[in-house]
Amino acid sequence: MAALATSRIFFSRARNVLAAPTEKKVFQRDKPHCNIGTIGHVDHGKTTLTAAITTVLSEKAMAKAKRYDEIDNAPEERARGITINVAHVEYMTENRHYGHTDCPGHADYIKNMITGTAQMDGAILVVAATDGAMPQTREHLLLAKQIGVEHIVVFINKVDAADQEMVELVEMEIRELMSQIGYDGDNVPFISGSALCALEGRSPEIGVQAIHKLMAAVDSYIPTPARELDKPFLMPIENVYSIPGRGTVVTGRLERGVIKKGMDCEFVGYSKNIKTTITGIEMFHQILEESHAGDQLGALVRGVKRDDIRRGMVMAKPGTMKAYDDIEAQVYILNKDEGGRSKPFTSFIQMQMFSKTWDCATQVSLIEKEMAMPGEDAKLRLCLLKPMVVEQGQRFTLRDGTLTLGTGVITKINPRLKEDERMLLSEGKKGREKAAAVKK
Amino acid sequence: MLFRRLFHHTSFVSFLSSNVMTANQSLLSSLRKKTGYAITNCKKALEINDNDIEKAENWLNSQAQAQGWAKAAKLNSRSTPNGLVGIRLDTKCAIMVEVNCETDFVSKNEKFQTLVAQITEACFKKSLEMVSSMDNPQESSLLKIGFDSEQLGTLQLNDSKNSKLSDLVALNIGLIGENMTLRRAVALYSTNSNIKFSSCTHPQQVLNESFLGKYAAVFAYEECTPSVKMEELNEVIAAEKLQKQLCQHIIGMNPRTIDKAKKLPDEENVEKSTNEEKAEKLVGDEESALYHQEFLAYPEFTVREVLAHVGWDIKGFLRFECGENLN
Repeated sequence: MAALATSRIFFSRARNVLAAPTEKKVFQRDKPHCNIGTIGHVDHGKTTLTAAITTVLSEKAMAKAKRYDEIDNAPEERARGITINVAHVEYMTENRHYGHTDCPGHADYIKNMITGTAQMDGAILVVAATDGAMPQTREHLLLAKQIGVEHIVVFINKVDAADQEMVELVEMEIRELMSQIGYDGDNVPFISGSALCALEGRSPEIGVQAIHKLMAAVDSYIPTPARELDKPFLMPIENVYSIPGRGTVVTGRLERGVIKKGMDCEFVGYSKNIKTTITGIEMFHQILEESHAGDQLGALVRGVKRDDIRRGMVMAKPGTMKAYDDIEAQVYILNKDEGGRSKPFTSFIQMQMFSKTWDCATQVSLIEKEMAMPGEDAKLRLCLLKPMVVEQGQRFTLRDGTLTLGTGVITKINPRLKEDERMLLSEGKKGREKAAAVKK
Repeated sequence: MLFRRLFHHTSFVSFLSSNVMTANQSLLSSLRKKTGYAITNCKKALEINDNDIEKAENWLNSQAQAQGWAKAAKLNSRSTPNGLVGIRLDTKCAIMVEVNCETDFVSKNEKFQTLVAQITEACFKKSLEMVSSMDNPQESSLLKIGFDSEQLGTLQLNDSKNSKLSDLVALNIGLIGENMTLRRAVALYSTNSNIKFSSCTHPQQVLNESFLGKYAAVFAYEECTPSVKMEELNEVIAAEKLQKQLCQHIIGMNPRTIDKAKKLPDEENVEKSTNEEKAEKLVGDEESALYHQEFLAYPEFTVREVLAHVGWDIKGFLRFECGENLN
């Protein structure tokens, strides 16, 4: 995901360069990358804080200073065809490189999570000392939980307009609230200061220094996500060839990990599990000893027939991937302007689900709602007609004929369907109701 | 919660003999817990009232309205694209109210939801009064009355202070800290006791007898004898579910007109559809007349077929989508 996010920032920069030809800076991948974001009440200073962080860090040449209005008026973005109101900013500390996300609304954060433009590894909750926890601060924390943010650092803002007593009280309130919601409220780092002072270069003890303290807390409290390269290897299969005299070759892009000649591997998908060994790796018609995540490659595998493997299966480290057919997901339903349909849908509609290199007919049912309107996000249960390789956090799209209906992220994986549940999948809505009527 | 109250209470009593600084803090903390007003205001209240917590609370309550109006004036220019629609109905009246706020964080917030439910109830009572004071106009069995933003603001709340709805909104702007607007309301009355109402909201939420959601629909119908029974429909249509399914259909398919006329061009079956309805019938290429649309729950059938099967005659409907463009 980190790689995805950086490439995103990269692209946006490339776009700017195209618009106004200046010298292109080379991205230095010498620090681990981490995605964070700001959450908090509209008036509590999220955007001012973001501007302050870039301004303070720009003094050390670790960020490009952004003005408040540059962040506040960030244009709507289209990610995977979805319109999102989001500001992306990048900066560095001594230890890490950061992608920083700031959105105005709950729905925007959800869309951001679903499209995976920048999965947040942690967040900064901004609370004004003058107001304290507002009625909706709870909603902000619930959102963070919902989009899977486990680590939060709290910045108590506007201390220039408050006194120590108020700051302490706010801290107490927020710790209590966070514990209620399921965070480790007692150990969350709290930094107090004034983003405005930092931005305007006034009172350094609550201004610039507070920003440095905040970033030090972010550096230490929010863990660096595991790099794709360090994970067990996984390659979704794009094509399978039979090469006379050599054997079967599978091609695809290595999504994560490292493969070497001689490693054991497993093919999973379409109700099959085949264990074998990688006997050779090729890239650009040249033989390789080892291949890294991101490489487009062909792998020669031992003792497998071409017909045993097909597109949509994955080649993975044995035992790391499994196929499932009953999953839960958070999905954004595209509206008509985004290319989706104009009508809502209800449970038991059948759609085609696309993920990695596979696609599969899927029965969709709604959780918590009775119908899903275009332009809305919804929690769905997806029952695949055939078990496929899925894991939590995997992204996918749902299509219906020629229309892309929605795009989503897998949030939960349920045990495999039982035989009778599987039988029901092929029944339409009418069939279901008939069956229910017969039972009565 | 009870424990916490007690705890604060005792710490408040014991402060007299202990360190003044921590005592003030626990005072501030308990005042804030109790009232929920912004910390700055709680502090000011204690300072003005010599740390007397009861006086401070009264002061805060008396100031809240003024503070709310001040905040409302300050935030007045900010746009309010989110919010909720509230519905309340009984056998002869249904009302639908839209209240807007700035972000969807607030529309998910309990305080805001309570506010919308309160406003819906106030509008509902007002419309009941209006309908009972009217001398039954016989020309139509179904009446529709709209309220605009200003009319809503001046509605009385019938509380002890005799405040208006706009006061209530301002008070909540002060508490929640976002701009809010009373956008519109529409009431449907029936003067014919055979007419029934049904409503639902999406996503559905019920609070103090009001239904809340981002979308809302209500329709009025009369039960007649079924005209065309369809075998296939016997299996799938259940009358008890149909009300809700029809409301969801209205929310989802966004019909503009009812248009009961059959669509055959050579048939002069126009007695029920007025010219106005016909003019609006087609908006773009999508079918926008309720009776001709595919029924959302069972797209194999049209709404007309389903209604004919159960013998319902739709008299009117309303649909609100929060934040929709009204032009």
